Amino acid sequence: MASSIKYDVAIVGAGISGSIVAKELAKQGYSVLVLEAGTAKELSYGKYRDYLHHYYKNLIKIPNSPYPNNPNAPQPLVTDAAPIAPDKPDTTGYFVQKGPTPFQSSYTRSQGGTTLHWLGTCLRMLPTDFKEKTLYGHGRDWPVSYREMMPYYRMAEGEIGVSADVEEQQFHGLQFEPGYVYPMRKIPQSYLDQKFGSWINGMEFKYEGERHKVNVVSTPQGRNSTPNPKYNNGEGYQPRGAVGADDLGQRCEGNSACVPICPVQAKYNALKTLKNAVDHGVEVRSQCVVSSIDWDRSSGKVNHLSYKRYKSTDSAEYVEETATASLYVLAAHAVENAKLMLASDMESTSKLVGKNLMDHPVLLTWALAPEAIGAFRGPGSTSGIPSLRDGAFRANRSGFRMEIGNWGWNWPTGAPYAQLATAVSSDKLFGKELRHHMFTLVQKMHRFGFLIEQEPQESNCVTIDPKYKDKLGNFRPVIQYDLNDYEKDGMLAARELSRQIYQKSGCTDYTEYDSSRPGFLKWKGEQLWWQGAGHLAGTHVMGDSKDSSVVSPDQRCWDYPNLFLVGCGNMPTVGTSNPTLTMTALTFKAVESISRELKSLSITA
Amino acid sequence: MLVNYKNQLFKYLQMAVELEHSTIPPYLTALFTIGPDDNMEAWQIIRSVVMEEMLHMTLACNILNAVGGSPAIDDPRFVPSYPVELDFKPPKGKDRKFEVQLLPFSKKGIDIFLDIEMPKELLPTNLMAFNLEQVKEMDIPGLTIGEFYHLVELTLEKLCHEYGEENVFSGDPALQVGPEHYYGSGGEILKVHNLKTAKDAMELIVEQGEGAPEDIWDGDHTHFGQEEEVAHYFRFNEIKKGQYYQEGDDPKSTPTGPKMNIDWDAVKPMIPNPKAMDFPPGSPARELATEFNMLYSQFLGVLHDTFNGQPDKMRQSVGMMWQLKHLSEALLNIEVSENPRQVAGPPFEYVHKSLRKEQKQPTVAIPKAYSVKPGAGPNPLPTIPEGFKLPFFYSSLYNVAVFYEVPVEQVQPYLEGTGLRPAIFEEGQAVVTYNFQHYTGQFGAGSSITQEVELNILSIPESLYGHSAEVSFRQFVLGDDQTKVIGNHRVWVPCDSPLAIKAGKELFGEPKFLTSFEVDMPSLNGEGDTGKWNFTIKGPDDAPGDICTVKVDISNLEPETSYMSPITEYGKHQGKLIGCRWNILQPMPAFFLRKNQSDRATLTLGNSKHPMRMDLEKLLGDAPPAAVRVYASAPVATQGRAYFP
Repeated sequence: MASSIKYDVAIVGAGISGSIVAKELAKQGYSVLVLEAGTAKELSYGKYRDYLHHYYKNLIKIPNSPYPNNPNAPQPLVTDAAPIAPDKPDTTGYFVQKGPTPFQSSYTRSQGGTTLHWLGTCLRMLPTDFKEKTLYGHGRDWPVSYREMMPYYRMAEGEIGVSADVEEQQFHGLQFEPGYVYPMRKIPQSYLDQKFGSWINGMEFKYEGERHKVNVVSTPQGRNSTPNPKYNNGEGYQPRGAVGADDLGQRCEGNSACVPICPVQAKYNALKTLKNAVDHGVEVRSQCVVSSIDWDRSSGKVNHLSYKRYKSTDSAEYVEETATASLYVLAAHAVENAKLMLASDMESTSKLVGKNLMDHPVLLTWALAPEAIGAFRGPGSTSGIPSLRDGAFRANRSGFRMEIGNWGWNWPTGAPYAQLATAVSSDKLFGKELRHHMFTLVQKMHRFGFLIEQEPQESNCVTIDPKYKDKLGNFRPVIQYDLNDYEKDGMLAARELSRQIYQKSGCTDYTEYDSSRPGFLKWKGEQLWWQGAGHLAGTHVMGDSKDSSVVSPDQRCWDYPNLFLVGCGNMPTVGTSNPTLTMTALTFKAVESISRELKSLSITA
Repeated sequence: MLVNYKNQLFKYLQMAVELEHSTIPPYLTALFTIGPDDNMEAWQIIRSVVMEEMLHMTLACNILNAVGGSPAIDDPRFVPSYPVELDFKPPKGKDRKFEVQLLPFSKKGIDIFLDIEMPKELLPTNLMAFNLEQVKEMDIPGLTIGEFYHLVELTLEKLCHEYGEENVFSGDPALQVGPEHYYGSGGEILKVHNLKTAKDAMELIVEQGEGAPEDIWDGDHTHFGQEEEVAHYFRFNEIKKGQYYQEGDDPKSTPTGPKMNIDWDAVKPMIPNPKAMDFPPGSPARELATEFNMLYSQFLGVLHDTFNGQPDKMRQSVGMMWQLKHLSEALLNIEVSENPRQVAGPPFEYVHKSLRKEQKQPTVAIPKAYSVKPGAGPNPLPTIPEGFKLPFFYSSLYNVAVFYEVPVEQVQPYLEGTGLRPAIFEEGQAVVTYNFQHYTGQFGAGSSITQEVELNILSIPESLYGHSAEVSFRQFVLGDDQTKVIGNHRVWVPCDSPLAIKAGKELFGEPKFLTSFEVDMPSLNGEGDTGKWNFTIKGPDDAPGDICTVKVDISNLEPETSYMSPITEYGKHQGKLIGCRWNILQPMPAFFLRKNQSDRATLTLGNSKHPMRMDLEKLLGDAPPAAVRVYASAPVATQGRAYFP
């Protein structure tokens, strides 16, 4: 009987943060159990090939397309989102959406979690991002500084295997320890990045009396490249290939399919860490959906986890089991962690469980370049423009990171398939003429993505409602979400920056927003349209006091002494960088406090 | 003499490079004939081996370069013609000979692979140590690849001992290919610069191929911290037996680990040892096979450069390998016989340099007709900013233009970064021209009079070079460039109407500014036709004074008829070069001025500090006016003199 064993640590979720905690503690000799809601049982290359085949066969290539839907552990899909009528929640997908604006991001409930379909961008947050409230009067301050985070960033970059050249990443006050190098050299910038660099580097973006120098800069990525022999004081770095087929994927091959699935696993996914955890003796139980946490009302201590173990995805049949451990770690995802706590009646003194849901709303603009720029080649993005990530303007409007897309108009328009369909069905083109048409059009396609920083706001939140449950009888997340004026003003600046860059580079702007699609809005006379980035964060915020946060800087719940929370839910703000790297760094920090706590409980490995 | 021994060594190491390469086409062929859904485990195994063979070839090149040799890769002798016989020759006793073929994934093929990777321990006889002098040059000395490398190692040791290590390893370190030049699979690229690194490289080759001595496992786990893996011979044996090895198995035992599923029938039935000539001329298989051979040979050329001083070219070869894979897949989809069903395959034949085309750019088919409907291509109509309407109709126009022939250097700086180049006429001269316009725009609410001057350089868009008619300056002014490619690049456009300035800026990106003019021009309503066109451009408010005064007098000159309209005007819109035509709907009189007639068109610079004044000075220098063109639109109605009815 599984419930008879008492583990040192029980972890909910086998994504990146859960796998890291599991692996690190198992390496120290502790007994670790991981409960995973998804179906995958084996860490084999064959399982991964199943995902690939699922992806090939799926006609709609959304981020979750390779990872089959599972009614017993449902996951949100980006295609679920639709405009929401007032007072009529949209219940189409897994989320129950109360609006007023539809939340458009998704995540993956399976071993490896959302890193299965992430792009792999690994930017550090800026030093100023950790004290935004003090500096700009917006967001929240972190209880840790960039300087304190530096060693954890290093661990995170080693775990993920980040490719970048440190000398290119020292902007906006970002510092690195002297002599530090990333594990691998930077991924070569695409031809299109180089072209844009030659057209616009050094130009000035003029906006509301401000002037910002604009430069194309290579982006650090969790994707295998040439190992840097100087890494780790000259020890070098051994790239990790596919799980179960290690000689595959030791270098990025330019398959141009990072999202939703890298066919060779040159892109990091948490299966690599999980495999390592299992090799160190971690027990992973799949098809086990934790449905509630049993806790002692006087001490606040967790007694055990209750989970539903289902037999197959074809039926809602399950058995209820429990898991007991000395310490518990929720690593189920920002939304799932909050949901599980609310389902277990675990409010916090601060009342902030489930509040402050954040994402990076992404404004997309697209254009045709004046010449062929080799669109649709290489990883999804190899460069960005960091110029507007920070500045005094953040007192008035959101900062943003500008991502340069390598895959043409794929994201906003479904290119090249959509254009092909139009050419065939409306323009009646075929044969050589069709090829010529597509050849000229596709090669010039270009897209920018502006990741707008979202502020933490209590009104953006995850709640639960007994009316809405899934097949296994677990709660579905109920989401309330909107964008504020600060963010919309940031978006306006982004739109203007795209125009000035197109002007300077000789591109023809083809951006056209469809008012019927979710994310469309009009603001100060400008039409705007945003998409979700999948950067869900903030739902169990970290802070220095019980009254204003859910977890302490140790990432332990203020109110539940043997419960630790990890993941993006702890992040007080999201800054302008994709959150995975920072979350991974925080997780390494959490491992230190969990390990300290185990020792103080006199639990020895 | 070291030099003689080195020549011998070069031959061995060149042979090593060739030997490593000769395994790649048969392994790749087996790999490519496995369909995407079949024999996953076997696919994975063969792929891992073929990647390591590429590493071995690289290491052999590094050793050859380290001792001062140079690998010859783009060479007809480098490429075997399959089937090829490998003849392993021991110093004494019988040869070990077998035929290597290009076969689809099959038991027969795997047996050949086992022969190639055979470790010494599994040979029926034990052999004596080598004696250098006894070995013939052309065949492979030794009974296995391992023994062959052992011979090379003995040779290197002997030479280092006799002549000194630094004299043996005298190659240029810059020729070494390293891990920074792209490799990602089992093992690692080692750079070779002395006996130790050469031995490391050879040990890596032999252990990956045949296993560590008396062992099935290769050394990658120990040396590079990679996952445990058996050597090539044993990996192929796993396929043959349909079972993995596991901890505790030894070279002489059969594998005892987990079973693997092999479906020997789920294979693309490729004809053995395909050759381009096997396929009928003009058939798709022939064309693709020829293309494959061409690309394969070009690829060998790139590899040759990579290993002869340009290691960065390794990256270029990676893209070519992908192309070769795609071509192979295309060939394997072409049926060449129905019963039994057989498909074509990649031939791996060498095409001599002189017969090679340059690497083909992707071909763009020329369509039979061109679609010009909106959205059909990448050249949409430029947008029209809100509040404007095109075309704009002039209800009257008075216009005088003066042309100057100037040295090209004077105008060039003004065209940098515009996408335009100066038009150069017969004497090598560029042309600067300005024209004054006084026109009426008739609107619903009434009419407006606008005056403006354009200061222009005659120019041609970079993208249209060669598309203009070849004309003299005189022909141009008279209107003979009917291609209309030669047009005006506007340097300055002073204008007295804010609305016209907005239009010029937003529609065409004209460098337009608000100012005023003083004008005296011929008019039927004036003092009779005096032939005198005089105008002064006043400086704007922030640069007071005059910019210049122009006086043109064409009285008594002989007019020639110019049909220059439409006049091409270039500008910028949405950051791109934009063109537009200005249509003057009648012929215009033009006057060519001789040297002694330069007083017929004078320009006097004023004292305004506006930059246009300086640019006029720079652009015109002391050039005399070369031609004048005037236009006064005809009245559309008259009211005659009164009479007594």
